[in-house]
Amino acid sequence: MTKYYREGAVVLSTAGRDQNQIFIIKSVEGNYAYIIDGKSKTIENPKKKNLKHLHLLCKSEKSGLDMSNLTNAHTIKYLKDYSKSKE
Amino acid sequence: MIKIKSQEEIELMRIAGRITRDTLKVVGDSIKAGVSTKELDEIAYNYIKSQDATPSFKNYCGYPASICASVNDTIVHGIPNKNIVLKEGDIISIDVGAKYKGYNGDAARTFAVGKIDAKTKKLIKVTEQSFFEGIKDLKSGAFVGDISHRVQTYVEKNGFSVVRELVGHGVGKQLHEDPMVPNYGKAGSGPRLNANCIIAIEPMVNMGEKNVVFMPDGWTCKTKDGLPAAHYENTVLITENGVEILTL
Repeated sequence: MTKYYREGAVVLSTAGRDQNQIFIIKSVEGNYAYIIDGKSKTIENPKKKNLKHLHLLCKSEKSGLDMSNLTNAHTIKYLKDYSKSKE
Repeated sequence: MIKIKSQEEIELMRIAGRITRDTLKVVGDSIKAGVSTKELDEIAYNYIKSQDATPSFKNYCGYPASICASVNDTIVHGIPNKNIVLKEGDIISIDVGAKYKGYNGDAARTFAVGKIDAKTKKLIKVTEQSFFEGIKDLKSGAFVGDISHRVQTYVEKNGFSVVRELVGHGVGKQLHEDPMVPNYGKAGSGPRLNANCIIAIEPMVNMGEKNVVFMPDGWTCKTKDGLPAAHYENTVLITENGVEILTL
């Protein structure tokens, strides 16, 4: 069974308390993604969120993130730079 | 983290691989016009159970069936349904996994239903061959990107495209383990594969554009342009000197 390649994608939360915040997908299980921002949602403690409440901003293959070496500090910097680039 | 399997684990995965391979054969022999994909699912379920194994996909992350049965423009994860009845000229990709004593086998083939046109025949052949191109010269120490690059190069040279959103994967106790094995990329990139790691290599090839759409059921993935797609997969053990295909 094929694995969805969404790890490393940049997404926007469209529902819940974290609405309008951006995250990186750490992993996907079925219809749920584990998302991180490096601060409150860390690599060690990601948030489980339904994929239908996430809007894809940047696909995995375009984000260029190396998920095997990603750190919380790198996540914070990446998302900050990503937001700046879109301003 | 890429898991390295012990000899005992490899032996169990050889058995899981054999059951998976034989299930594909049994299902493949039942494919003909007039058969529903639900019937094929039942055939797979009964065969896997008869081998003292369990279907790896059933209830995996909520997936409701033992096989993925993907017809024509459905690339992967087509959910079997009694209302999807095969007709002459269709193609169908069957993806199946069998779990034996806790270890999974995973494989897929694309079958023709009766006579199909020459271009679709070529699509199936190129998809299958791209797998074998991918494992050419593959052995311990190779990079995942080496497989990805070979698959992509071969497929695109033949005028088709590879899917980006879905990838192969490590396989073992879990159906999906590290690493991810994309069907596109640069040679020499990605993690290294060492002896005794086991991966599922699975080219998904679209006749037209690479773009895909996901259906509201959360599983079914189709080509955006509505043209057919094919899928070929095997579970592969990396060794010091080459590979052993566990589902062939």
